[in-house]
Amino acid sequence: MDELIAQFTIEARELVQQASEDLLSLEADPGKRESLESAFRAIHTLKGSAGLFDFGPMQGILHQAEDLLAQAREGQILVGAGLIDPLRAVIEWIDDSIEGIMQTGRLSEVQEMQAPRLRGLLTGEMAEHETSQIAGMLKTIPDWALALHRLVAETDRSPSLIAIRYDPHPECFFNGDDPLETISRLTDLRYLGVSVKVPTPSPQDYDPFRCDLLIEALSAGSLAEAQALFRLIPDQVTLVHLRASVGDPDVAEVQGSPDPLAGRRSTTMRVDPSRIDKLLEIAGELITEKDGLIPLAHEARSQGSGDLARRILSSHFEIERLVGSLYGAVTQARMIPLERTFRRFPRLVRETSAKLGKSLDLIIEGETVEADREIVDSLFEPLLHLVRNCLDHGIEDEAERLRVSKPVRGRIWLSARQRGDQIEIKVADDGRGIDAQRIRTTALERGLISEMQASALPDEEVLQFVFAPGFSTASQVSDLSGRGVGLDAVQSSVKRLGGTLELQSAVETGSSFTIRLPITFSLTQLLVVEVGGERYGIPISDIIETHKVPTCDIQCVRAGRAFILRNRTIPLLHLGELLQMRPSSLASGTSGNLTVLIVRSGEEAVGVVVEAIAERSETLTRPLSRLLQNVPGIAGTALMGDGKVLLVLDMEELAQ
Amino acid sequence: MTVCLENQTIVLSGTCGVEDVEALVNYLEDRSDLSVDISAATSVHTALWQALMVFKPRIIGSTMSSLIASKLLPALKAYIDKDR
Amino acid sequence: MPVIRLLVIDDSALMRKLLGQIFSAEGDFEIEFAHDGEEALEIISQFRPNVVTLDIHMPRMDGLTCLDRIMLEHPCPVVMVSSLTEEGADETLAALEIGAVDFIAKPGGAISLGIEELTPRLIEKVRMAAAVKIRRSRRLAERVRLTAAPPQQRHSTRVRDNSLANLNRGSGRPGLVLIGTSTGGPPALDTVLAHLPANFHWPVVVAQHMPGSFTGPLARRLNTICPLEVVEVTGQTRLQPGNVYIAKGDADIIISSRAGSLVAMAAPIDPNSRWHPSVDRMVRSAMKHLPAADLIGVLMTGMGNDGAAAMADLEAAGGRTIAESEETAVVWGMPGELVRLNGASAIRRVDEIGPWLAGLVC
Repeated sequence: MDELIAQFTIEARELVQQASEDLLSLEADPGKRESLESAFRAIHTLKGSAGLFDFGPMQGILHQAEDLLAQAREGQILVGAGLIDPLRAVIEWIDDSIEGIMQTGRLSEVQEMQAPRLRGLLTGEMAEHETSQIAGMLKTIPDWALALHRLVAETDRSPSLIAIRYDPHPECFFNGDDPLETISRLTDLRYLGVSVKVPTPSPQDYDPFRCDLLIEALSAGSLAEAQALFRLIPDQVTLVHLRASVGDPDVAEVQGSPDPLAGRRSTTMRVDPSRIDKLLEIAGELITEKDGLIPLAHEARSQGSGDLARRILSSHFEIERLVGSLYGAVTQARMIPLERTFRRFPRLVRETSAKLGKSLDLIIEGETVEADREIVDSLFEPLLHLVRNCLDHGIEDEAERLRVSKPVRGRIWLSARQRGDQIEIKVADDGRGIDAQRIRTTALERGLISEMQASALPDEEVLQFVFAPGFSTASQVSDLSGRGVGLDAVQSSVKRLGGTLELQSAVETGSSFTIRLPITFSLTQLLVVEVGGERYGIPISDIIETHKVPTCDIQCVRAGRAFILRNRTIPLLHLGELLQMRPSSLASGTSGNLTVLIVRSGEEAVGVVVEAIAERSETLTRPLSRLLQNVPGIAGTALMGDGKVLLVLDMEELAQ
Repeated sequence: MTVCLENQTIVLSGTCGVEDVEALVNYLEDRSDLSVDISAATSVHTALWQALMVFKPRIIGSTMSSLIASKLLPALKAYIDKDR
Repeated sequence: MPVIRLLVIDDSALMRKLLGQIFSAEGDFEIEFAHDGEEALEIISQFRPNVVTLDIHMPRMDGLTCLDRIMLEHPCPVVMVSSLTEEGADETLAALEIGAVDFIAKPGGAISLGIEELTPRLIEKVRMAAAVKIRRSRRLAERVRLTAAPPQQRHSTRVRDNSLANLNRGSGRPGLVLIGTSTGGPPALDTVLAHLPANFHWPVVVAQHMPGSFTGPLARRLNTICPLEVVEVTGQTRLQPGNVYIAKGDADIIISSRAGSLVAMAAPIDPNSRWHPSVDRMVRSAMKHLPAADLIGVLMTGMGNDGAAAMADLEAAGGRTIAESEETAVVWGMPGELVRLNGASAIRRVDEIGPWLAGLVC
């Protein structure tokens, strides 16, 4: 079976890739038959494969997606955003699920929780940005439930009753259902009513194998019992929890709780974002707190209680899993569509282009793609920079466009798509493009690269120099390509959000900036270190290894220090110095061993001395607030279990 | 035989499954004057209850199942009587 | 133990792996794989498989085209791997007409079969198909017939048995033709029903073993090639003379009498029988409401023995039964069993059955 799962994941990745490419091309050209066919096949095959396993709702969702595509193939529905967006959401969801499936062989709970949202999207019942996880509460008790309530003698009323309305599917007998037998399994049935639906079939027309009944009942058992009983037929049953207040049996202060199984359409609830943040904070704390169980287990073991240790560890494991789901669910609740940022652009572009006297169209795509609220909000400025760049320097004026036989109206694209747990945002234009050769020359002039590098580097890599600090502000550059002010600023704000920025360009054809960002702020494994009496977090992914280096092994090399590690000379830096702490506050490391983290700095390894390694911690790293945004070397902040905020360092930037 | 005719009465006995509804309907259709005796039935499928509700014969006896006796039968009879 | 050479043609690596695992566990299969139709045709000429499983949905050369070429170039038994969707049904029925022996439903669609559930049937079907002898000439002849216009005129087959000719005079109302079939059934039904003339005035009820999502498309398809009206029975349906009723799959069909007229109705499956719609149950229910002399039972190609016992009883009670001959049956299971039970009034090639019925009834 594991082998099959592995095969599934390989195949699913390919199919997801195929389908998303097809959707992209459909988006560009809705009439493209072969893309539609290809997307259909990909989804169809995926569905077939998923059907071999028990991936909960996945197959049903793929089935719905396939149906949509089938309808599009037959021309029953138009190919457009209404088709493509839900399908893309499905594909992204599958993509996100693959990793978990590969590891556990199952669909993760977090993914499963998204199923209703996807189903809603596919059936067009919900707009993408509605959060379905927060199901609405039913305000009023339906009349039928109240009527049932009145039927029960007062003495027979239990403080809590479940009103049941069971409307069996006409063909339920064919599925082996026996509705009256089913309902009679409820432990404490207080009332049972059964009627033939109107219009009642005449005896000669009535089909004995077709179920035309309506069953109503009151049970004094628990809601959970009723839910379990009707688990397989939620679409045919409505449950209402009735609670009668003492002494006022009829009107009753009844509090309805809608049956989550009843297939009701979810409604949206507005929640103050700060409440969600609070939840996220608590989830984050839990993540840290749960690790406290591990030393407890070790302690238990060392005291000879292996069994207790095992139990603690297994409980730790379970808590870890739950906290993971909780965290996933809460992050999900913070997701909003990019639309909120994207929609600010049309007016902006219109006004600016009018001012510049250029005529152009702004094409916005993928605004329904979702990301963490904070990311969406922080994207505006970098995007603004990029769009301004396209406007100012990318798009030629009309005369020049005519000269090079381009359409008179320029075009700027602002598009987003989800790829796995990342979003990819493109800002592109069909303007004059950037000449890599001239960037090369400038980079060489400015001493950013050696002559040898200049000739060896491919154009794509050379282009990235426009993001080098100060590069694009240099006057020579503005002249040559017009990539004006502040691309390095864009680069650093994207980096702060944990993303990357890339430029592609071809002379005369246009340029395209691609921002890749995480959808949410993910959990990071941090190593907490101490220096100068303060604690800092360093992402474990930045650390190659840690070492104890005897002080006597440290050698002075020119202005700095270094030591030998496996025949390589590793430059040695002190974290305190990197953070520009006063030397007096740093513990003098003259005796004994130094604790050294080996980190990457560009292509090289660098040793960084810290005073102590405190702990490892899995936590949530958030981008810096405005105040700290310009401090180099700080990647973000992390909230620790004790409520303290830890600065997370960007070692690569620091060690530069 | 779970559905049969005995002494001018349609008798349900033992486990009456969904497949027995056809025989019951045939009897009810041919002889709408007959009563249906359910006292020997141990379980009766919904499809048969539905047939009784459509043809509304007189129902004799109670069944072995206390739930049916106490809740379903009164409900059924109430439904049948309402329209009579 | 003779080795069965199996070629699996599937573009999905997952399905190849799964089918490979299932059949190699059997021990007596030698398995080859092809990713697409082109490759399959190459392999077939070398490997000479005893049986082929063919995915109906493939990029490049689709399943039907591939099947077409296999049937023309290297005829061998082919089992289609289809989806349970309506579209899958149409394509599968087309494949059966082109010459595929049988089909298996790929897990998927609304009714998902788990691997465990799927495996035994899969093995049984593939083994059975491997044992089928493909008669190239017959397949070609059938395909030529299919591309030609469906026969509309009456066939002038002589009534061979005079006692049968008087069948419906005694009871004064039309009788009922009951057809049961399984593997290889759809093309056989094409042949039989296309030979029934427009003035065929007995209702015909057909139980073709098939999934529920396939019987609707089957009825629609037959309706286009048959002079009679062909409909699927999804609920209680009054039987009209000269109509053909296809029993809904994943259910049984019973014949009953309501308010004085004959009806067919879909009924929940009887878990005691293995194949559905059950031919045995159809025949036995009809015998409760019609004199045996007013019934004609037809048992055609199919694996297993469904219908044989009931039709033998029908024959013993004075009804008429016909078994498809071994010569034309893709699998001579059901009709063979009827013959073994000594319950067949006649044994006929599939192309003789329609004219025979027309001779009896018209």
